[in-house]
Amino acid sequence: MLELRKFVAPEFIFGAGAIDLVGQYARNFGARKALLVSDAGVAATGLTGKIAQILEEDDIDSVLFSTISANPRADEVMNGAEQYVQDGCDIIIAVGGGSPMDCAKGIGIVTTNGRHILDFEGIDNVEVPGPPLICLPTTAGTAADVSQFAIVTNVQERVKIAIVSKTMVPDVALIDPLVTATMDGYLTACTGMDALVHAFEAYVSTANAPILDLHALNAIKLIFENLPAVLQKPDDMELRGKIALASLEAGLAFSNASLGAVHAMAHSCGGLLDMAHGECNAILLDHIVAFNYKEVPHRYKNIAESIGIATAQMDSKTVLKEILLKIRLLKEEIGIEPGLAKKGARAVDISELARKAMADPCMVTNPREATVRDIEVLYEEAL
Amino acid sequence: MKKLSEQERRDQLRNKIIGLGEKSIRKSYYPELQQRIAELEKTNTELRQEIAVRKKAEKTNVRLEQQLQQAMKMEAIGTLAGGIAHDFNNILTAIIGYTDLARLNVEKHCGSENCPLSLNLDHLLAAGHRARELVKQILTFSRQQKRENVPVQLSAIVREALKLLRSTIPASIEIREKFVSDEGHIMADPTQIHQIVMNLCTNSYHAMRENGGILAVKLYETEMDSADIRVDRLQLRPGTFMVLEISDSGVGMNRMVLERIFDPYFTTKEESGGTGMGLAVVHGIIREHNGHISVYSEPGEGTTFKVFLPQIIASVQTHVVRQLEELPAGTERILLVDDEEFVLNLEKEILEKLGYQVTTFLNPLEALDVYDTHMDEFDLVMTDMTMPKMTGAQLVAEIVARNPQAAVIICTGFSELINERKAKALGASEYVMKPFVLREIATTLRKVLDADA
Repeated sequence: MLELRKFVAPEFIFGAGAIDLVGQYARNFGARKALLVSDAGVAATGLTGKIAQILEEDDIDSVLFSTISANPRADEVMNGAEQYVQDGCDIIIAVGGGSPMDCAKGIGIVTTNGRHILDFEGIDNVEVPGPPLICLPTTAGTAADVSQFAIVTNVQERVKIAIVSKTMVPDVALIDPLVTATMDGYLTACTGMDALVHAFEAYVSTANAPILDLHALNAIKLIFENLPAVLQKPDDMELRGKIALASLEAGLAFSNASLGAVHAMAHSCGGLLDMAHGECNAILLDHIVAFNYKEVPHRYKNIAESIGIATAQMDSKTVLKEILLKIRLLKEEIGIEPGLAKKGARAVDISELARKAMADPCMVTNPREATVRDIEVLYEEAL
Repeated sequence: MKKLSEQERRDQLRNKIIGLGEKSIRKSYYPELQQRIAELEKTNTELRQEIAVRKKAEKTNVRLEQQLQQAMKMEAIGTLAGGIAHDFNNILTAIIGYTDLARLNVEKHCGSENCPLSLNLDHLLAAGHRARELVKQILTFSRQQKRENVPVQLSAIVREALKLLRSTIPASIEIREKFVSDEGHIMADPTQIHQIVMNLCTNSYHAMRENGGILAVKLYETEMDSADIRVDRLQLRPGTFMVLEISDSGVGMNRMVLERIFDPYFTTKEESGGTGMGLAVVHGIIREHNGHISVYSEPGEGTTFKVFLPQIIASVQTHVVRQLEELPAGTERILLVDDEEFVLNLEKEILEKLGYQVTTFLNPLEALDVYDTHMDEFDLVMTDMTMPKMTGAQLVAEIVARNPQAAVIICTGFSELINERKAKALGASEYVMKPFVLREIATTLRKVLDADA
């Protein structure tokens, strides 16, 4: 309780119509020309055009950079940085899910530090912050808009590298739940599960803290209560708002407390097999909860209480059983099937996946110290 | 170095995530950025203001430069035209004289007044007289004509001229008068000033002949001290000026025309019989009166002429009486010398109003003669500086030679560079600047007289 802690978060605006403030915020930075970082899917919805128009009204030029893969690649980040410099931009505005936002963070630090994006791998390796960065998330889960994390794929090594640094925290996040309604059902489910995993891992992280616990537990509660409902009623903006809030709270928690084995292993899958991040997280979650449980049962008990499990009469094993059941039921309800094999993972990949997961910075704060063999076993169980 | 255990390594990384020691947290970089932006914006604003000030100064400079050039050009044209006019006048004298003679001889021989030769000579004579009129105008422009300067109440002349104009200018043109300073006097030839007003107003009328409009005539005072940039550039004497402003709402003029309007023989009114001498003459008269004329015009926006004429103190009666009680006065006897009769009388009047007994001399030599024999009858000598026959400096030297205790005041115009030190070196007790400022002369007199006593 008395450990020195700090809480890092960007200035954020949450609520319907938040994205309309982008011009005002860009102007506050004295911006003249913005690099709009997005992806083809988001650009096709017309959202980037709308943002460009809002900026235009504030007399700010913009140029679109949208050649980004679902898991942003190092060379894409470098291309974006080149465009930023060539077009004489002075602010970066990310519009989209985790991929454009992580890419935008990468572009920023590459331009100010003049180094390759892969040089920044690991914790606290960024010397100079990037130019002003405003994030407009279109998904509810990644929370890259408030976090100090950026994940970039090193294609040669087939590995996702994590860049963890306070300099990666965006300057402003404009979180508009209305925008998340553009997601289809499955993407809503996967990103929602990403948020749930953020909250789970942050809460049991060895770097947890009381102020973060509040957000983590509330995020878990909101996801369990509202994620199936929003899939039933995708146009219910109240429900969209609750999921977006869950994502934000989970983000505030994990950005400061870091994550754990689920993310380390999911990053590994994403790097090697280009699997979808949220989906991977969802498939792995219950296996890792079972593995970690005995290290911090009291904290899992709090999670259980927050999702409506009456733990008072239960012994520790029953609590775990109930939690795992709840997670599996949720996944079933939202249509995420178990089994990494169905998503392209093979038994022969396991040893490499485990080796890479062990090297991931997220593994540092996992509550239970794992060996390579432990991780291999977990992959086998989840296969 | 001791190799870290796995637990130590994990702890170290965990602490880095918590990140207490990190220096580069983004938020801390905001205030600097914002501060820098604010500083730059401030600098920008200041720079913009400075540029504006400079641009304005440059504009003023260009304008003054043009005025100077114009003045130099007019000077050159004046000298040239004056020289030619003089020579031409002599030739004309011969032409007209001999034509007159020839006419007499022809009449004698022919015996008839209707002799064709006689009629031819009449035409020749008429042409000769027209030529002489023209030469007279050129001489006015080139300031080589003799004139009689007297104190003139400017507003009276302007009113008189406007009365005359009102009867000739059509009703479609409204004449508006605004005389802010009615009392101001100038030293001038009234006929010539009348000519200026008539000329300028006639030009205004021409500019508004088509569509009518407003002819506004204003009269006011303005101060120009020696620091005033106009004083230097326009070679004016610092002091109070009467400003006669004549503006019309007529067709206006473009730059090309503006640059040449004061040139002799330049006219835009060929059809209506303009000679091109009107404004040239106006210019000559004003320079001769130590004044200045400026013009502002834009095509379609009308034209404004401003005539600056140095003001003099003339309304002695009214002003002196009112202020007399408060001024230091005296009954001492003063010997006053000035070669200009008007100035002499004016000064005498001022001194007498202050209670002094004044004896005046136009000729310094005469004054000196009287002083020789009646030295004891004068308490103070007051003399002008620049005089023919004997300068003020010489006169002072003579007086001091005769009476080293003599109280002497030198009066000096602006052109004579004199200061207190120089005046003292000449042997004078004090000096005063002309034109007289009543309070100053009264105070100086008392100071000198009381010092002697």
